[in-house]
Order: sequence, then structure tokens, then C-alpha cells
Amino acid sequence: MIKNKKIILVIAIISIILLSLSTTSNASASAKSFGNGRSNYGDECAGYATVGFNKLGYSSTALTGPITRDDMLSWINNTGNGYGMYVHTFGGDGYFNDYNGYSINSSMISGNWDLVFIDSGYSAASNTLASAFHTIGYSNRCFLGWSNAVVTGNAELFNYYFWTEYVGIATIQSAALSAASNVPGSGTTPIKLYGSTSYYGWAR
Amino acid sequence: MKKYQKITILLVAILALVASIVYAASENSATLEKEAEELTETAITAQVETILAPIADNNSVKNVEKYTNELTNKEMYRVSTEDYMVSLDSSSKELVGIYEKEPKYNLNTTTDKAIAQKYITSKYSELKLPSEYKLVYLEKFDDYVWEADFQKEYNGVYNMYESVKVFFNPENQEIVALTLFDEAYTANEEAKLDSETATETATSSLNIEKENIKDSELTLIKANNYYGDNNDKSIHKAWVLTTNEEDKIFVDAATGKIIGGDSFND
Repeated sequence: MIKNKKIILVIAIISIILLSLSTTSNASASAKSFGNGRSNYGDECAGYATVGFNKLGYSSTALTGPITRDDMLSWINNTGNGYGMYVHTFGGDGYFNDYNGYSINSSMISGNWDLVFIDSGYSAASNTLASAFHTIGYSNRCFLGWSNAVVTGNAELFNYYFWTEYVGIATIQSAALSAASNVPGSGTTPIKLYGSTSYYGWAR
Repeated sequence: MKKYQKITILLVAILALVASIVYAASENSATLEKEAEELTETAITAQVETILAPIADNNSVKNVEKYTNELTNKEMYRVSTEDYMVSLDSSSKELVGIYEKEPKYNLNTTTDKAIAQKYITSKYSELKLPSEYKLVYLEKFDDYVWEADFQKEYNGVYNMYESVKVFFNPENQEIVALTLFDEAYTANEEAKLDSETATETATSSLNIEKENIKDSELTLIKANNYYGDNNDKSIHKAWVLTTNEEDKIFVDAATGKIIGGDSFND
């Protein structure tokens, strides 16, 4: 009888430890990077972003090639732990396109996002997309985009330096300006940040 | 003692001697390497503290690490202080870049170009950056930061790959990010083609209408594989043609060959 009691006690203690571990260790936030196959540099840029998100503690994956609007919307509307998104594609102020040219505009975007970079021309010409991702007005959220057009070769260079060299050791704002300075030429990298300028981008 | 026993003892003794010599040599080599690393780190620390003196109040070095720039395949040092990261070429120990970790600026920047120019030309000189480069671009980047570009000139054409690109805030006396590019233009080609001929050559070769070209600029640009297989990545004197669809076509100004291109992401 005493022996059984001891076994029950040990099992109970182990159960309590396992239960406490399962409730205290939250899975890290997730991020997804999309590289539009129509750009010469879609694969490379999505790869750099995946490396960068991993450095920031995100569980990070990439999707490249003929990405569709549904591919991106299913991530945007995820009900899980997705708080990071990068897209290398074509677009304009307030929208960005999939491989076939179908657009995602601000009315299709929902959720509270921590770190979003829409790497398409004019994506940050206004705060339309940044507002749609709810990245403005919080201490630990920000949105990156371009305030003007950018040639894809320069965008690729920017992404290499931003994600692989500076993210994780500087604020997102400083990492972006550092990366921009690594792209030769005048006015070649009109990067624009909305949201917190002191945010380092760490995953929640 | 038999003869073979003597030989065995002698061989063991020789082996032991060789082993001890090899061990001592490797220990000595490791010690020398460690001493060399410490000397390098000390020298780098002193160098970076001197570099940062004109722009940082607290320039004491906190960390030195080696890393590889995968794009250029160059070994680099990243030196961290309280406020900045400084990149140095590990072979030449030359400065490659100065990058702020966190933005300190909190004042909207001036719209007066003269104020911005006075600040950046003064800092450029204090930082002992290449005196032969000329200020070719100075514009407000956003509400807080200006961009300035200093480039080397080759007979009226500027080389953006041999330049200094810097973001700064004059009000807060702050260098935000600064990169030195040191890729010289060595081909020294003569621009035999004018804009008209370059346009005709390119439109004929790519089978597009001449009227589709809206702009052209003679510049120094790196070749790439945008228009097919091309392993050439060197700097050429070229006409950069812009189409109505905002595509870029690079036409070698000496040969008329299409050496690359690009497109906007919009």
C-alpha cells in the first residue's frame, strides 16, 4: 500500500512538472517570406528574409515561385502564431501583387502584426498598408516598405545586408538605413519605416 | 640485451623525442597565433576608437568579431561600441562602414541644403575619407535624415562603386550610416557611341520600338545577366536606357553590346 502511494506521488509530481512546462513554454512567433517568381531575385530575397526572421527568434519558412494571392491571404488571415511577413513582389501604394498580377489591397488585410516588409515599389508611399497590418502606434511593431520605385537588383542588395548583416544587432530602423547605405548609387534605396523606430524586431 | 631490444628502445626514444618536438612546436604556434590575434585586436580597437572620435562621445570598443561578407566573399571585422558598429576589411584593415545601432535623432531635419552640406563636408573631412571624391548628391531622405554621396570622377563620369554613401542628421550632429565603396574603374573605355546610336543598337537587338526609350544616361555600371547568360560583373562605361515600362537596358558605350539591365519592382 505504501509502495503504491509512492508510485502515485512520483507520477503526480512528474505530471505537475510536465503540465507546468507545457503552460509556460509558448511556441515562438512564426514568420513567412514570399518571393515572387516573376522577379529575378525573388528566391534570394525570400531566402535572406528567412535567415533574418530566424535570427530574430521567429519560426520562419519561405514560399517562392508562382505565388498566388490565396497563398499570401491564407498567411495574412492565419489564426495561429504568425506575426511576421516578408513579400518580394511588384505593387504600388496600398497594394501588392501575386505572380499572376492579382492584387492584395488594404481591405483584405487583417490581424495584428509585429514585423512586416512589403518589398514592392511604393508600398510605403503612404501609411495605407502599414495601417492595415496594424503596425502603427505600438512600441513593438513596425512596417517596412519603399516610398518610391526601386530596381530589383538594388532591392536584392538591400535585402542581403538588411536581413543577414544588421537585423538582430540594430533596431529595424537603423538596420534599414545601414543596409540602404550599402547599395551604391544616389537615391537608390527609398526605404521607409512606419511604427516603432526603437523596435529590434525580436519575436514575441 | 639483445640487438632487437636495443633497436626497439632506440626507436621508442626517437618517437618520444619527435612527439615532444611536434607538441612543443604546435603549442608554440598556437601561442603565437593567439598573441597575433591579441595584437590585431588591440590595433583594431585603437584604430576604431580613432575613427569614431569625431562623431561619437563614447567610442570605447566592446567587442570585435570576424565574419564573412558572402556577397563579396571578403573576411571582415565587425567592431562594436556602445552606439556604433564599425566594419573593417580584415586584410587591409581599411574602414568599410560605420553604422548606428539605434537612432538617437529626435529633431526634424532642416530643409536648408546649405546647413546639411556644411555639416557633412566638415565630418567627411574629420573622418579622413577620400579627398578626391566629389559631393555629387545631397538630398533629404525623410523627415529626419539626409543622404549624401561622394564619388570618384573619371573624365566627367562618376563611379558609384568608388564612393562614400552616408545618411546623417545635422540637427543632432549624427552620422546614421556610412559605407565606403572601393571598386575602381580600370577599363578606361572610350565612349565611341552617342545616346542615339546606343538606342538604335539596343532597340534593334531587343526588337523593341525606338520610341519606347524615354531616357538615356552615360554612366559607369556593372554588367549582369538580366538579358541572358553573362558571367561578366565588371564595371563598364555604358548608356543606361530607360523604357516607358521603366525597364533599364545597359549598352556598353565602347562596343554597343548589351551588357545587362534591370526593372523596377512596381
